[in-house]
Parts: sequence; C-alpha cells; structure tokens
Amino acid sequence: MKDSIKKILFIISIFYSLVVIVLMLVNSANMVTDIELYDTDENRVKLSEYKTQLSLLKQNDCTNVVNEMIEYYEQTSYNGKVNLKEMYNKNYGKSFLSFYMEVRNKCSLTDSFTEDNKLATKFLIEMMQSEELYQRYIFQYEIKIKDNFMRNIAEPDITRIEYKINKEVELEIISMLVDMLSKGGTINE
Amino acid sequence: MNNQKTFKILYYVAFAVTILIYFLSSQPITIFGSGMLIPLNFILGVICLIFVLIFTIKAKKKKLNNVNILFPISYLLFLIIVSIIAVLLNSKLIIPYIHYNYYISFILINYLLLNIYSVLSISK
Repeated sequence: MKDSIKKILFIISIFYSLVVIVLMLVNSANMVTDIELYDTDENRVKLSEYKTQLSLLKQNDCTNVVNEMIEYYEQTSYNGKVNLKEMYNKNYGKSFLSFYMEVRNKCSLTDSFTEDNKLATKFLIEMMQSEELYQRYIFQYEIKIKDNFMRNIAEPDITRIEYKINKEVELEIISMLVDMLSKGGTINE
Repeated sequence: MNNQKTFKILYYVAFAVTILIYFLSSQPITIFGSGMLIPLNFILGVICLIFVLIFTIKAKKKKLNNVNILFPISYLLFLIIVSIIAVLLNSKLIIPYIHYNYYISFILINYLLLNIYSVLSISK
C-alpha cells in the first residue's frame, strides 16, 4: 500500500513538473513585449495649433503648466512599435492627473469651472487609460492558458483603443485650458 | 554508496537548494505584488520544514524502504529549470522580480510531494 502511494506520488511529481515547465515555456514564448500605438496626424495638428495659441499669450505660471502638459502629450505621442517595458519605465507615476493640483492652483480654477467642464472626471479618465495601457501586460508571467487570439489580437486592439481615448481626452483637456486662457480666464498674475 | 545514502544526500541537497531559492526569491511586497502568494509560500514552506524535521529525526534511527533516487534528481532538475526560466523572463517583464514569488509556489508544491514520499519511505 505504501509502495503504491509512493509510486503515485513520483508519477504525479513527474507529470506536474512537465506540465509546469511546458506551460512556462509556452507562456514565455507568447509574451507581448512590444505593441503598435498610433496617434493621429489630426491630433498632432490640433496640438500644434494649441501650442502656437499658447505661445502668443502672456506667459505665467498657468501657461507654464499647460506647456508642461503639452510636452507630456508630445512625449507620449507614439507612431509605431513601442516597447512596453521602456514605456512603463519612462511614464511610471506620470499622467495628466499628476498635473491636476498644479493646474487648479496656478490657473486659479474655480469649482464651478471644474464642475461645468467635468475637469476632474476627464483627468481621472486620462489617468486610468494611461495605467490600462500596460496594466494587462504586467502579470503576463502568470501561467494561464490564454488563446492566441486574446493575447496577440484582441488585447493589443483593446490597448490601441484605450490609447486613442487617452490621447483624445488629453487633447480635450489642453484645448479647454488654452481656450480658457485665451479668453483671459483665470490668469495668475 | 548504497541507494539509501544517495537518497538522503540528494534529499538534503534538495532541501538546501530549495531554502536558498526561497530566500533569494522573497522580494519586498510591492503594490503590484500578489499579496496572497506570500502567506501561501510561507505556509508551504513551514509544512515542508515540518516534514524535513520528521524525516531527519526518524531516518536517523530507521532505514528507508524502496527509495527511488530519481525522485530527488527529477525535483532538482525541475527546480533548476524553473529558476532559469524565471531569471531569463526577468528582462522581458515590465516590472522585474515580482514573478519570483509566484513561481516559488510551484517549486514548493513539488517539494512537498518529495517530502511526503521521503517520510513514507521510513520503515516502521
């Protein structure tokens, strides 16, 4: 009885070892390390217009913050294959949300302006979309039997959609702030 | 060198290497760390340690019956291969090092099987 249990344990161990190693190797081979992200030319043209508009205004703390946001947009405007690890290392902890308090204080944004334009929501959406870009790829080391379609087609497609939304929201925020500043809005003298 | 002695040597080598890998893989908890796996690995580690103690105490006075030295050898091979894959994967991952705690649980489960086998091999 003991001997048969011991034999079973040995067989289970061998089978288990083989399954784990094969799954690890398959998982490793199917890992997504690069992704193709494209920002549209239309967005870049709009950004260029906002940049020009901003440069014509009187420079102050508020315009400086908006310029930083434009710079961030430019740094994260991709047009081809991007390495997920490099993207994460470059942008970790950064998103438009990190500019939110600075924008509120330096541009002296009122509560009504923030609420009417749903500014807080837009900043939050932008931050969440920025995080989502690489969140689903962080735990790729987990041994899961994911089908090829999900990993190589569906998920990268979803990531591209999230990136598109992310860029549109960023552009909308920049447009709102430049528009406010152009109308002489709440300028910090 | 008889089968029993070889098995004991391989068993303790497996123990030493497992302990080494366990401590090398124990990374500080990060916000992306799978918090649940740390208690699981700790529990598995404690259970395995208990088996090692039982084996060490009982095997001193008693003989081992029908031990297959292939078991500790296959376990050591498994441990080495999993560790190599985990190290090679490190450069591919977005956040390095967080996967070690995940893979150590697979190693400890296999080690538990070896421990149960070893304790069962001690004659009455």
